Amino acid sequence: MHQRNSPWYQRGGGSRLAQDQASIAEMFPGLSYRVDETAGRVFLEGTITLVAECGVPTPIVVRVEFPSDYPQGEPHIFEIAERFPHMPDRHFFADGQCCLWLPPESRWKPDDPEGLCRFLEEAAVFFDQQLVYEAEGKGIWPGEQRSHGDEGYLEFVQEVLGGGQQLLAVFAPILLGLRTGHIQSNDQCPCGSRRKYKRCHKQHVEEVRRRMGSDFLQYIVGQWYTHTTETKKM
Amino acid sequence: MSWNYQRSYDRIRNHLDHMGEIEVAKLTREADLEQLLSETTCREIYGAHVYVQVSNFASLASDGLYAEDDYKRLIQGVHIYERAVTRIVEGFGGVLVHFQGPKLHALFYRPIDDGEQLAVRAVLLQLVLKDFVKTIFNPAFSDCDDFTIAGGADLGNAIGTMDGINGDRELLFVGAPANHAAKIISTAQRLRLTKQVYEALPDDLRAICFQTDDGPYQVLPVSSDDLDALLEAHGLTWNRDVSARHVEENKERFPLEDIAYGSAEVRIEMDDLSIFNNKRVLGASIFADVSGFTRYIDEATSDEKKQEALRVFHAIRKETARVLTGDFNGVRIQYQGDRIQGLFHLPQDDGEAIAQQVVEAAVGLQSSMEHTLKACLPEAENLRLAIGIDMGTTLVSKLGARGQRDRICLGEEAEYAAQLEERSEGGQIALSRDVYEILPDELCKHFTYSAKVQGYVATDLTAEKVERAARGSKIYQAGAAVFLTAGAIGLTISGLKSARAKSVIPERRYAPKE
Repeated sequence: MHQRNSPWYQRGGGSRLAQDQASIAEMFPGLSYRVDETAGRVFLEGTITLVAECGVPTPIVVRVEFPSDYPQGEPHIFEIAERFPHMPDRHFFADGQCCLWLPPESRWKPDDPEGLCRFLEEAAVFFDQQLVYEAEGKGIWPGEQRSHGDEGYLEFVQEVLGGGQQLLAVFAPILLGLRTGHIQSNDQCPCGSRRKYKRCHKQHVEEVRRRMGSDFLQYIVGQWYTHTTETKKM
Repeated sequence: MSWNYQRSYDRIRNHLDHMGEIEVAKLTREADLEQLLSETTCREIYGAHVYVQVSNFASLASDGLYAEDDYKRLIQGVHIYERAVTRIVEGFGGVLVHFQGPKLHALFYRPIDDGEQLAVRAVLLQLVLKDFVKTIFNPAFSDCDDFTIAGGADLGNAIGTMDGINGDRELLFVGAPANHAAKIISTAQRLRLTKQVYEALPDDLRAICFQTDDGPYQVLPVSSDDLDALLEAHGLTWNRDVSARHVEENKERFPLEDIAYGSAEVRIEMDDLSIFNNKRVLGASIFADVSGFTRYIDEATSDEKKQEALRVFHAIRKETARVLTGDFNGVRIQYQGDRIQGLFHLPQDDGEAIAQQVVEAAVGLQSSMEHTLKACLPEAENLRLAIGIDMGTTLVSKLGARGQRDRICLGEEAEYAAQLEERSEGGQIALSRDVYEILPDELCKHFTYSAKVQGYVATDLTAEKVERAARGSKIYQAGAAVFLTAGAIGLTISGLKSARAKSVIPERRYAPKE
């Protein structure tokens, strides 16, 4: 019980924190830990310096916050000096939190001992993309991106299913567990491939369920499906 | 050849570490400035700065107008003009700072602190040069188009210093009068003065001046007889007959058949050039001026601040020269106060490669200014470089009187590059259309047309910006890995795999809801 109530950085004798500290000191020497004992929180703060090939260093001032269930829950990184505009098109939340990925597509691996370094490397690539965005001056994000808000999740679902809105409309009843969407493994896949469901889209549907979580899937796909079917009726 | 942060940083630090303490004192007695001044021995000099330029020179030197002999006549004319002007300046007790192409920069500081005498000399020198060109020089060179003259003068304190290269030392002046005198020159054939000069003048010279609508005062034309009377009244002498005889003697001494010019397959060594050995090349002229420097030095009122400003000045001066010559294999033509003039002419006759090289050098200059100079000298925070570039056939030489020979670059495009720089703001690189149109896409895309500058302008373009823009769209394509290397300073992210590099495939970014 004591272990469960203590802050994450004290659990297991503080081994995870010690492990992270060692790898951060080697890979990101500009960052250092700050422990707020009163709040029971740990912050990783300082600069990630990106060096251009011509040698120009660009320091980015950041703060990394850890959830209470770290390392199960993934950390969040904030750009705190406003070196970049904190706006959605630049993949920042208003408070400077970097939107590194769509949550179902998270690269965070709780059990990877080098997980925090991998996470910060992704953040470094994210900051490099910010610098490329500015250098190109086209107002176009240099790389792949998803749409704002719920649209981004729908894009993810469609991509895992391997099709567009039409395919999503076919699988929405299955994803939502509706009576009209009841299907057996050996039934023909509703995508029209004439293959058995278990050999066609079953694993994709399960992948969407696993990565989105059933409640959130109900919310995102349910809202879209209701809107689509109502529009059709009109 | 390219710009590199660490190399630039190290040489600036090394220069600053070995510069020694700068001494700035007021000049209180006459001295041989070329002997007295150095990088660290600087003097605040109250004086009248005069610029006189051949206002139609750009068109005289433009490409295609001259057959071989015509071109030689131009070289001969400029050489003899500079020698004659040098004699006149020295005859008036002035100091020839240098010629910037065909533009004279002279200083009158004797008698010390006598504003009226200095202003008188500044005005009468302009009138004499105008008379000289009209009555002696143009008739002597009747087979060339006539030179026309425009001038400007200002009076006040400027700091005199010198660059520190043995055997190639140049007098340099920084501060308002050295700058304003050049800025008030109009394109028309006018002789102009600042208010400071006008107010120091005696009544008889004020009577031939009037204030123009745009601010400066203008000197009315005077006849040769009236000029002689004014010279006599103010105790100055200029003998037309002696001047005319010298011009004729010089024509015999420097005959057309002895003047030679050729192309250059390797980088031009300026010290090898003379009236008898000129180079005519396809070259890109570049001018880089430290925007805000005149105000910075004028606002430096304490000795400590002046020392600080001169330290900044010399660091910028030396670093810009090293970027041009060391990093990008260009030729440094001249320092002109806080401005540097350079030329790129290699590979020979390859316009596209020259254009790319000169623009990369300009980006290197901006990189040094914005990154390394400011890292070493935080007090330079508000200084920016304004850069102008044009390309065309250019004559490169070292002309003028013995011991006073100046490196010069003559050509319409050299003049236009200077004008582009003057119309640009700090942080900008301005290109002529000719340069813009032959640049490779990865550089060209950073420039847009500016009606104000009348050229193609890029703002805040530094080496790392060019690098990131060039690789960005290539490496951040769907599923493409980038390579990340941890070094002593930080992380380098590139599209190239190298030893110790780790590959990362960036995830799609999700734009949060607004």
